[in-house]
Amino acid sequence: MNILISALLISGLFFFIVGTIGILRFPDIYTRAHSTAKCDTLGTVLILLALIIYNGINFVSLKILLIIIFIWITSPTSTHLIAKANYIQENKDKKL
Amino acid sequence: MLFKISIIVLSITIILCMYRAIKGPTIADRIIAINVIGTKVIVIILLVSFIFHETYFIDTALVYALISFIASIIISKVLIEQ
Amino acid sequence: MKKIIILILYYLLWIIFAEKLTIQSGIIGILFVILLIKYNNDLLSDYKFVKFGRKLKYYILYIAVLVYEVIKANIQVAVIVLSKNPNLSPCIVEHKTKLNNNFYKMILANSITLTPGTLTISVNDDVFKVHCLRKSFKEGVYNSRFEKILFKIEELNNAI
Repeated sequence: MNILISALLISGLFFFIVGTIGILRFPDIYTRAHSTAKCDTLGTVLILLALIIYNGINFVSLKILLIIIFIWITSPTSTHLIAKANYIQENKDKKL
Repeated sequence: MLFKISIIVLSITIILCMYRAIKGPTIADRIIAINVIGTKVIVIILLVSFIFHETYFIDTALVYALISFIASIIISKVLIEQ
Repeated sequence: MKKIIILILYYLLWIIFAEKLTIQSGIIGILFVILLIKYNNDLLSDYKFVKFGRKLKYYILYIAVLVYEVIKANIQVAVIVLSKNPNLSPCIVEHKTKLNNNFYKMILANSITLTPGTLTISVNDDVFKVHCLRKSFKEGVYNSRFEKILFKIEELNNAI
């Protein structure tokens, strides 16, 4: 059981680190959004799954499951809105 | 022990994200960096709650997730309407 | 009928938040759930609770495909980020969808963002603007497996 928890934690941390390197390294805003939208969701889910397995089945695990579902829905939505705002601003500059 | 190590690693990645949040050329870059920092803070709060064995931190994490989502949506709406 | 199902779902959510079921928390929960349904009804008007048993099969298939694609997308992003030459050629593609329901369009847009190399930028009526990391990722947008599954669910909805 301990091995499974450590494997999940380490892979989650790996994806968070990859997302951060992506933010620092990619050249423009859309490519940065790519790396954050994907790596954030999977990294969070892996680390929280490790916590659920560590905790066992009770109400706390159900709440963590709710947080997972919430992040799975909201993270792509907010990234999409930020990209849309940037896209609209760029096109405004072209028209003027 | 592994929880403490992962908190330290996450804090280092937050500091690296701060570089993009401070320097980022456009406003959208900064919002994306802040959004990522918010997600990482949620994970850190949950890890801290397991280290201290206090379950009420989990409610804090839920509310933090809600607030960071609403903040990024409001800022991008303001950007769209500018 | 629809309101009763939503009421039960909201009440289960309340019990998870409250962590226990005493007389006090139960009564407060029922009050809040009724208020929520009264003032929140128009947000849920798009969704229909019909043929749930047959839709459930497609939902489980959808979640399985989504998890598989998300893991694939993450490994792909990791490979691109960690390689010395990222070799990017970003482009913006327009895709016209056949879906009508707003709820399913929302699910499709979020799934496109989570799948390999693509990011939804804007949705106008039924035209999706999708940003691709490389030109070769276009194919994944045009024949996506998600749209086929969602289309089948929508057909079940319309065939009452």
